[in-house]
Amino acid sequence: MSSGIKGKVTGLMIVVFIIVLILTAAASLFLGTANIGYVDVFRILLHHIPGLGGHISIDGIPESAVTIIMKLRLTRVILALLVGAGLSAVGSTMQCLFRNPMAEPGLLGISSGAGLGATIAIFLGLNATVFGMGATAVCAFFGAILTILIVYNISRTGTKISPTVLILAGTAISFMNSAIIQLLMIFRRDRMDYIMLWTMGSFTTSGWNKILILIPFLAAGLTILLLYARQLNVISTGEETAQSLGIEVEKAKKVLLAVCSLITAACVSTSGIIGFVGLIIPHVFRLLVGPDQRVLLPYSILGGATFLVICDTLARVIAPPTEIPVGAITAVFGSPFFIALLIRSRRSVM
Amino acid sequence: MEQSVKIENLSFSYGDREVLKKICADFKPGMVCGLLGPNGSGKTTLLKNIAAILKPQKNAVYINCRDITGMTPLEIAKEMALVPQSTHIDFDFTVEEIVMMGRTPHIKGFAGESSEDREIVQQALETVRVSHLKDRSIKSLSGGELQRVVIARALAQKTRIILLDEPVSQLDIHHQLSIMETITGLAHEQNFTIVTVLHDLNLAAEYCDSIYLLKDGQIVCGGPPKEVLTFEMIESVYDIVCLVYENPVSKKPHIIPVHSK
Repeated sequence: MSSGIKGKVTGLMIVVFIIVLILTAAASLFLGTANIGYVDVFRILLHHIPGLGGHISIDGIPESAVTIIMKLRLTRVILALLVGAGLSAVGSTMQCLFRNPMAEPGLLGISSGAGLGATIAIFLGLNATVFGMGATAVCAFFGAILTILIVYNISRTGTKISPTVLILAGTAISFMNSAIIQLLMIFRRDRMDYIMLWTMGSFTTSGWNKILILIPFLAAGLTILLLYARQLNVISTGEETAQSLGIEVEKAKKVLLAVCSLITAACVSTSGIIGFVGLIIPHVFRLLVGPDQRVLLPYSILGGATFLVICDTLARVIAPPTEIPVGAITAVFGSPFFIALLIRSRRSVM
Repeated sequence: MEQSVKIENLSFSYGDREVLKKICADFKPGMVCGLLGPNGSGKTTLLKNIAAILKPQKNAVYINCRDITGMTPLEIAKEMALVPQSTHIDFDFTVEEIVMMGRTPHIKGFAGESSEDREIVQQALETVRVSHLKDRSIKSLSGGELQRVVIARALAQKTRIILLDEPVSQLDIHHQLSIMETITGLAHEQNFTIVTVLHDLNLAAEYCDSIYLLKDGQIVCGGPPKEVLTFEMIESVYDIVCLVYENPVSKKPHIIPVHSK
């Protein structure tokens, strides 16, 4: 296939995927325990669009329905979408950067650091708010940043960082963080459920404040990741090769590591530890569209967003009124799909 | 334009261990220069210093008369290409995509590849005779094919200087000869400056125009193969007993190892 045709097909597919994401998000708004009609959902949404709102009346729609759509469902959908996009983009980037198929946002201890920060906040019963964020989220964010700084400094020799040492140090610190979380849980049995829900990820405490905090992190972060996509392609074929092709590899590694850490910390501190998305979604799309990060990254972002919206919708509608942790859904529904894809691609190779 | 690599009093240490001691060498266009020596003699370290993969000291490595430590990686990449020792690519790029990566130093920022870039890639593939593999996955290639593709990537970089680190040591005899012929063709017909690390003394004797023999981080001898690859020199550098004949076809030295000392 010539590059020109390939480019057009890719462009068209991206549009298709954006439409799929919008439809998925819309479907998620209609679904839920409270039965609200399609027309009402549309009227409520349109009413809240600035400039258009005056022309659309929401008379006759109960106040509770408006609250459910605007404060609960819409914020959840947007938050799930943002976190899915962020984690998946980070996974795709880290797999290239470390030339390691097992790389994912949790690899360097970032998630577990956030988990420990959150657990400490819950353990101490902190409930102050900073910039509209709960103490748990703030502690989670700083736990994540502190952890990556420790891991980074362990693996640094002079001005260079070794990917292998980085991964090993990250794994070791992850285990330590998890162990401390479990110890703290035992000492605060009364808050165990709360900690459990947090460490398995959940969008139940979504809100506009979280969305507004997350957006700048993702907008800036994803832009930088996209700008580095070409360099990352070359780095994924070997660091020395990349260097001989004029890429400042150590600088790229530091920038990408910092951006990935911040995106992950922001995502995990607003929604808890959601595994699987960042590991699997990039692999799914690598099998479908190839390893070129300039194409793969946009697909991973859209795919991660769509996947997590679907999973979170399932989490709240499968067994009402019980909320299933979204991390469990991602793994239970994602794994078989991924295994099927692996088997298929293995056949095509043979 | 001059396209030389000049080394003046280059020393290099890994921590306390001095690996290169006051190396002086001169690599000229139109010539294939071989770096030879036993394991640990510093051949690859020297090549990595020239390629600025390792950081050489100031005023020791000159590319076209410019001190390499004063050049940015991008400037270096426009003058000099590297074919690394082993290439292992985990991701499923096509051959064309890999060779296109050779254009990296010439493509600015977010711009796409131009038709000129695609043409250069096509030429590079033809030069090493792998255009038929263009759409194949890099992971499906044999060792010989992969090495040709990596050389094509270096050619796509459009530099006049190419460094190679043991380009043929993993290949069968047919691919060894045909890749060495491609490399010498670049130097003799297109006036490239070629510096290559080699292990095989006979291949070096056949294909190099000049040879630097290293031992313990020092150049013990440099010059045309006939002057460097004498049995006294080889016996003292490699600690072996050997015979050196003349290849009846090429009139180049031919080394027959007998046993280690």
